Amino acid sequence: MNSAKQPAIILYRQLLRECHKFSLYNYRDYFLRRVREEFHQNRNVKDSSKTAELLKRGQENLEIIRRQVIIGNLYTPHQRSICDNHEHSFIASR
Amino acid sequence: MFHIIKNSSVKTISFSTVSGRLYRGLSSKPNPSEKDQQENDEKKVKQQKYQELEKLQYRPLYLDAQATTPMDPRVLDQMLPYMTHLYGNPHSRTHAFGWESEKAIEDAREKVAKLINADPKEIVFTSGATESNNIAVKGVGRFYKEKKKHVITTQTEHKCVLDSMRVLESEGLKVTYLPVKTNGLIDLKELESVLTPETSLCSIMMVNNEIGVRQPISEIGKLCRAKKVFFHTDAAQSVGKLPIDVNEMNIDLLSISGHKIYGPKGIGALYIRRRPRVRLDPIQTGGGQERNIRSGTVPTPLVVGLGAACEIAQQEFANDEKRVAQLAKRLIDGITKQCPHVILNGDPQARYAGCVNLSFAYVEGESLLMALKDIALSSGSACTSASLEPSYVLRAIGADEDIAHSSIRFGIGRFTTEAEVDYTIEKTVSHVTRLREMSPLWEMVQEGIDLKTIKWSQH
Repeated sequence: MNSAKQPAIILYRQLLRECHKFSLYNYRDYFLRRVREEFHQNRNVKDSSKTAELLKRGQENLEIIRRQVIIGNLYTPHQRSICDNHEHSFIASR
Repeated sequence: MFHIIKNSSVKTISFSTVSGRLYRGLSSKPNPSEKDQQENDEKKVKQQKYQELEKLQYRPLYLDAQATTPMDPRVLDQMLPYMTHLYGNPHSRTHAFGWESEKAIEDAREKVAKLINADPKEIVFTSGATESNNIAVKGVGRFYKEKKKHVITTQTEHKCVLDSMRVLESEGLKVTYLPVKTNGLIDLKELESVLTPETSLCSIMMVNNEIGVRQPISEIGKLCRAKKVFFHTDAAQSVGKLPIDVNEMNIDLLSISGHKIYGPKGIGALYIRRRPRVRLDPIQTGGGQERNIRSGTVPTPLVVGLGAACEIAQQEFANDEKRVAQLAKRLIDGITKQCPHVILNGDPQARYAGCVNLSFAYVEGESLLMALKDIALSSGSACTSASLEPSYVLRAIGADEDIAHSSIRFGIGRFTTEAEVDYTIEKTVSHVTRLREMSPLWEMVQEGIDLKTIKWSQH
């Protein structure tokens, strides 16, 4: 692992950790998928100005997700979604 | 009031005939006691719904992206500052509160314009696509009515366009309701034959909200431009989901809705071409905001939300498109593989993938919807989902009564997951099979009896 990749990996982990906190599973699923796709797609970017730009955008998105996770979790409805339930039982059965 | 245009194979029918059929529920005037009864019934239905809501154990999964879409968290994030600290009136000229709000709406205007390749000056903010359609149809129709007394639309338009047309008709304009072919698309030759020098406006929606078919907009635009007829398209269902270029497609007016593209409800926009200039009579008058076309204070947070939604739609376009197409294919394949006699309504090629309207033969749509309670689906547009009548769109494409009665619309969007689609396939297939097993019609079909040959006795 070279040092140039280090900030990207840290950001990637932070993003994933934060996305997991979305209480609405549609948002959770979507943002987890998008973060993975985005990092996968840009994994071979070598240009340092391009990586800096990508990292900046990632950081901005991390801030947005942090705020939106908090707001979303303030207004979570009483009932869980049927799909959420499905997913959990699926995970539990594994 | 019956107008026929010479040399035309298309019947130009006045509203009293077509709309009599389309608007049976609206035009009839019930007597007082009937009205009371109706109100009572409505009350009961409402109470039932609310009771059911309290009993709800799980939230259903959402598969009705044509009715509305959940707001993207990135949109809400941009809106919130304007709902808290930055509350200035964008039209205030004298202080910083006004300036910052004005800057925000101008930025948003630019983002909306960029999505459809227009100039920001050509965008007017409204309360939604319904208002945009009203302004476009009534505004243009009224402005040019001294010289041009004819407007064109299709039978499968959204209610707000059809209703605006009805108003124009009551004001003495001629309205042609173009029929559609069985695949839901209009016939360009028919359109050409009804375009006259008298025609001021042609309003045809880009993507149908019920069956998802995509009209040949570029060809229609070219035709209208050649005949010097203004072309309005209701793009509520297609902005941000299909590539749109108002210049390339020769579109003169275009309606946008905020809540169909992961933005907030209560906001929309209308694109009005400046060259060649489209002029119109405003419906709402007052303070003269939005270039006098739509007076009233522009709601800064909502406009910022629409701008953000447009910006994200542009960024995520390729990803969304690929994803929606993939999930739609998964859904259609999954259902048709396990279920025979399923019909995809509307043209199979010229369509927006996210709107899948399926008819399950020999199953009653309403009972299927009731059975699929843990999936939020609809039999057609949300505006008409209260009535049990089959949708006028399906009737317009010539679907048989039984097919029209057994249709269900699946709406797939940005936030739909694979698990949701799989769950829907599983539930739909099992309930369709169960309902068919109970149906005597299905039994007859299994025995090889052609139902069309049966003469049903009248009750």
